[in-house]
Amino acid sequence: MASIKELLIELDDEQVLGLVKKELDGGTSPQAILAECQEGLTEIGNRFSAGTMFVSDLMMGGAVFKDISALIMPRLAAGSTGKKLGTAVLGTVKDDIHDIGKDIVKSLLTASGFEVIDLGVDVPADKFVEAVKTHKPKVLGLSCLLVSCYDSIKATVEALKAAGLRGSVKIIIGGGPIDGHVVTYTGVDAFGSAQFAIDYCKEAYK
Amino acid sequence: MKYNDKYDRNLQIVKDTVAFKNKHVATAYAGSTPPAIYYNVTVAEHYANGAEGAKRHLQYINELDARGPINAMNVGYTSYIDVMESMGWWSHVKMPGIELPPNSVHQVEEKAILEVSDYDFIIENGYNAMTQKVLPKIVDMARVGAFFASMQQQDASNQLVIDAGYPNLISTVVFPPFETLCGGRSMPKFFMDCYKMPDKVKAAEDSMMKDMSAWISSLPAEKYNVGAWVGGLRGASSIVNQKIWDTLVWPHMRKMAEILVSKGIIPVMHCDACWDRDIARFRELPAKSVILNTDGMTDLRKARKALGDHVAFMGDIPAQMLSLASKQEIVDYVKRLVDDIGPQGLLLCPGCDAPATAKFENMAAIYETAALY
Repeated sequence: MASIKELLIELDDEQVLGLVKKELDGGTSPQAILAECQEGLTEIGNRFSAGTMFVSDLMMGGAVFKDISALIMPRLAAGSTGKKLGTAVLGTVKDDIHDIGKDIVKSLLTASGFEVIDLGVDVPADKFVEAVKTHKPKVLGLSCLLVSCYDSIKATVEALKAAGLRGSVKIIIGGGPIDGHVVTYTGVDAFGSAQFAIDYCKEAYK
Repeated sequence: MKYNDKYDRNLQIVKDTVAFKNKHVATAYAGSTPPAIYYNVTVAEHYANGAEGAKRHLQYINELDARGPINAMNVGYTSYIDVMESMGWWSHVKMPGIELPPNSVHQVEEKAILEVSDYDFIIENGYNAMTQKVLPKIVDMARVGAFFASMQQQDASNQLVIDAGYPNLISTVVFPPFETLCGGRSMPKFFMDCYKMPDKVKAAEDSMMKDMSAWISSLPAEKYNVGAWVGGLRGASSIVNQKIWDTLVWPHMRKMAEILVSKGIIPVMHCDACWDRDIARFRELPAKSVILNTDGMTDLRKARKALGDHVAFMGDIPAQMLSLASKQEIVDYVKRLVDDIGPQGLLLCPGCDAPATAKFENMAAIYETAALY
């Protein structure tokens, strides 16, 4: 019989939700199920990086995990969700209202055990500064789908410098029209895919 | 319509390129918003005044054409881009100067407009009926009326472009059902539907295709109606898995292309993101009749190996390079591309749509370099 991890990788939502219910009723700890889900989502991310799973699979995996979480969370005692790996702040930069890429990263980071502060879309530089000041993340992820918004990334980097926070946080960017030219132009640290963001955060909190 | 030598010459170059008979590399222009920034008006102003916007658009292309010949237009001008996209994508489109800052580009609002129950409505009533139902929810109907009123001037607009000598490769815009439903349901919800109720989605798509096929079949086979944009955006191979692509994306894209070819209209398969996984499938399209238009993310070297002289390519200078790279980097990129895949069956063009911030000298570099081949 397939495990929770295997069914999650197969994106078989009905089977996996049925099995989670059965395991919970049978006394398996929610933490153990959560750990298995995290392994499954990590494998989906690895397959995405290898080009054998695709954006739609990441989104479906995230949605199934959300449904599993809804079953698990009520059974977890407050504060017993396990140790958080770290904190990441995410947002789509000013004048850009796209949220899909950001939401995929958020979903995968959450599933991987990170606390994610999601500032939403069309986020001005000062909001990012405020969030970095408040939550002290090691990684700030900026999403940008528009070439016309490169200056919003740059303005965010400059605002963090002006606030004396640039040295405390690594800034990564993602989105369609992003490459090394944009990294150089804006002064961020790196760019990459959703899975890259997860790996980068794990490395930062190692 | 009255045609002229420059237009006829360019049209022949386009046709020869699609048929792999061209001796030199061909070129096309793509860029909705660079003329605004170049001539110091806001993007909002550029869209707001249709007559001025159309003139500015052509003036910009003419300036580039003076630096190196441009053989076709891959993006025409319209001041009603929000209405057109709303109709094709069943989504609200935010416009600069209205809901967005004046120098922003228009952006699609990712919000579910359709409910799951709307699939049944579509299956029963088709694309046209659903469009009638959805439009008042996503666009100001007074603006829709103004758009259709402006269509009465369409002949005059087409004549302006013809007078300038540029065949318009996207004189018609065609959204495959997958893209339209994805817009209407919002990407996260639609993708879940594709996993959880693929048969229902397919039935809705098939129903939409009946209206869409009838409409495409009714397009006038006129000389100015050179090509049609067939959008492949969220159906890209890098975005959806193989099963979704095989069943819900490709069959309708292929069918649309086949009907267009039968009408003598060139399908311009506008394929954003990466299509490497399925690139060989483009061999299923009629030979030497189609343009594959990519944005720098699909590997055209591999595509040429897979497709040989079956499908012409248009692209693929990346938008970010046009904005941020040096002129020499553009020259080098274009040279590498032409050297690697050859000038035959190739139209050099900005990938997708040049951004507002594209440097004029970078745009000019495309056409100056093309002239060397």
